[in-house]
Amino acid sequence: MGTSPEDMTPLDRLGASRRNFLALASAGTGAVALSACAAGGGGDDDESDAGGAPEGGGEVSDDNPFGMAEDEPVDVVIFNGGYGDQYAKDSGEKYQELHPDSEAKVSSTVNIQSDLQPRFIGGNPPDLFDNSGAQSMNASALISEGSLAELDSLIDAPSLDGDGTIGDTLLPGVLSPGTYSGKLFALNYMYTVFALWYSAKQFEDKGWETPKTWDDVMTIGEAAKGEDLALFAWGGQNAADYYHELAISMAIKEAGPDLAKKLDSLDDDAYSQDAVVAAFTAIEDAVSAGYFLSGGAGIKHTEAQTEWVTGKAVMYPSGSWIENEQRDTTPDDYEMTGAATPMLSESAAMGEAAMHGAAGEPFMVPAKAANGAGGLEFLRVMLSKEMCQNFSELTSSMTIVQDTIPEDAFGSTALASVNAMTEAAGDDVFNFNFTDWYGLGDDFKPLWAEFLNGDLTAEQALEKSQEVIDKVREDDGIEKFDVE
Amino acid sequence: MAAVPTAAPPAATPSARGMRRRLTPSRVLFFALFLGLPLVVYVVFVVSPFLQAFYYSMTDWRGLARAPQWIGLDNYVTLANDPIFRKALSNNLILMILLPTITITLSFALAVLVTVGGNSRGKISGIPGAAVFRIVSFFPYVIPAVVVGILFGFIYSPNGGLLNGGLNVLGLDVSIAWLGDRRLAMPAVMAAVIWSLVGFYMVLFVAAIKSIPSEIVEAARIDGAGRLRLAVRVILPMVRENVSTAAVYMGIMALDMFVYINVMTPSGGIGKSTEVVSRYLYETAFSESRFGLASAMGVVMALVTMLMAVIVLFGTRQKGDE
Repeated sequence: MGTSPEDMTPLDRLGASRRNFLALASAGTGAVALSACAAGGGGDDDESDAGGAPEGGGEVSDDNPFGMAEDEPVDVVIFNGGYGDQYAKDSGEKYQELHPDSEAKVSSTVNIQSDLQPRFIGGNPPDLFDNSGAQSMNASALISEGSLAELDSLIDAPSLDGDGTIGDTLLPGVLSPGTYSGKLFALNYMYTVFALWYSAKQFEDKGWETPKTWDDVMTIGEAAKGEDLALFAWGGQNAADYYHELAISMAIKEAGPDLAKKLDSLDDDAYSQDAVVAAFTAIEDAVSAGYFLSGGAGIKHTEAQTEWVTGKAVMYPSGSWIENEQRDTTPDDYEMTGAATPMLSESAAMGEAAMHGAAGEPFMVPAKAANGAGGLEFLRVMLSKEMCQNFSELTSSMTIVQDTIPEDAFGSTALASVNAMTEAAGDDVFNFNFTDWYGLGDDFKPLWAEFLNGDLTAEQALEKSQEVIDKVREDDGIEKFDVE
Repeated sequence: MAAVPTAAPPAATPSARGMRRRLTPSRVLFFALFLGLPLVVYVVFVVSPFLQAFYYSMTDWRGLARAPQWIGLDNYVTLANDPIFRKALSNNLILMILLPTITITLSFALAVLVTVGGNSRGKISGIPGAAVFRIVSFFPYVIPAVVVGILFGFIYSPNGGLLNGGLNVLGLDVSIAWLGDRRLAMPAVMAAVIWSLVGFYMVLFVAAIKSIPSEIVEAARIDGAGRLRLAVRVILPMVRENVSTAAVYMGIMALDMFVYINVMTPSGGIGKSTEVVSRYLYETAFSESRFGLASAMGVVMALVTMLMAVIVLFGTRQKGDE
């Protein structure tokens, strides 16, 4: 990120964790990554055992699918960030219940890298860690050095709830961000849904319907304008690209997932696709109608979001982290609710319920962990329905495990709507990667700030966006990712 | 040195005396300790990173595993053709002219006010309350740059910011996005920087003015010099060295500006209106992971900075020393 850690938006962080991982394509060709310099001569360079599945040496059974030694302690390090560390401590207690002789040591830190790098170099890494936050370890370096264990055995292991394997319980597509060359190296525990957020209470008071199409959104915009409200809040200093996400998602919904493939492969007419042009034009209409909160160009995402929840604007496009992020400034009766990305037209290819979803918060097991099998077992506990529900209750966020949010969603309207959207979407979940893969946030932020400020027309914005990806495509110094 | 006894015969020519002095162990130790050690530290921590950066600027190094490939001056060609870099560099150069000029003028004026700006009769003194002003105006300098940036971010907020609020009280119903307008953003950032630094340079100039013999100021006053003439014709030439030092410091700061820009306009402002090289360099290196290109930017900035320092120091020296 070009911005310092404190100016990173949650979208940036999600992208960074994904990019770190995916950047492997350039670093994975056997060369030694930078952090190896710091490693000096420490540790034995036993490449042969690197990257394999952890083995415990204990007896394998349904209660102990990884064959961990029952008397070995398990050492877990959690990133103590937006989600806190209580959920992991609770999982630790549950683990203790199941394996009374194996002590669960759960510690947390805000600086994963500075705490764990020395332990990796010294050859005594933890058994499981949550590689998250602004100071996370470079995943591509870890993997190219063979420092991480494969987690595939976890997916095939029986779920703690006795309803098939763990893989059966997961939402669709959640493993792909942690998979590299067909091997699973990171389990992304948390699930983010991108949506258009609003106050259900306000909508009820004003008699507005949840928007399904962009026309519905514009109708609400006009009504809001009549009451001197802006339709959209925006943080032009560092988060204008939230609206890029909205535009691309609308375009994918309109034309189907193939549209995303063209973008991901940096096609030379990616931004001339009809649906992309239509999405940009739609946003331009909202800009010229004056639906964007004035002064947005001068503020950051935190301020923009505060203005939104305090009633100066009606809607805000964001990932489902938004409720947790704005907890301190949101009025109690706000009833924050998400609506799936609106359709550009009634005839959208992917249908009304399709949504943009992505997994984040990568958990990893070091290859040289003393009790890697214990680390896997800990993850298995975390992936049980009970622990996932606990996580959702504590953080108002969803995990990658299906059917873990109860009807009342612990009183969180946002979480209930995330759950409803996920269920309605089923397999109609889409994603796009090019902004994360090639780190284009810094290119799109200023571009979108100008676009939303009315300084660029849709045509110019499209042209400049195409230039951004053309530049990446034509730069031979940048390794390209394969689009499936 | 002549007092140090040597073993050399008196016949030895005086000019060769030092060279033929024997290298006793204590002398070797002296050199090693007082010359060698600092030199080693300097070479290892200052010179070698410079050379390394220069080398990397000639490669396509991406900060990762792959060994850097030598690409000659390609990075510099890329920079010359990069409109954002050119914009950033020109912003830096504008800052380099405006920031020192405004800050030094303001702080010199304040320094004169609190030292000799008082009653023009009787004892030389500052304006009433000078002591209080001197302390209070130093306060902003104590606040770290990051905090100044965040503080002014709030002040400039378009909705409910202190500045717009003040203007509204005055009857101007405005909601200006100070940091989100391409014409206003840079002046707004500059105002924050000047606010935080004026006090420091004022204190610097106060010390310099205090060291001027009072007879000179008194003589000028008796000859009928007013306060303005006293300040410009008498005091300014006598604190010239301090002014040029201040100009170099301010110039170097204006060529950096990373903290202020990154905090107040994290992506370089709308339309890159507040982009500076240091922030663009940071983005290029740590976000795009193009360390070769970023090193080239660093080298360009190092050259510009050196050039600026040389021009300012020699420019002000020649005037009076001939």
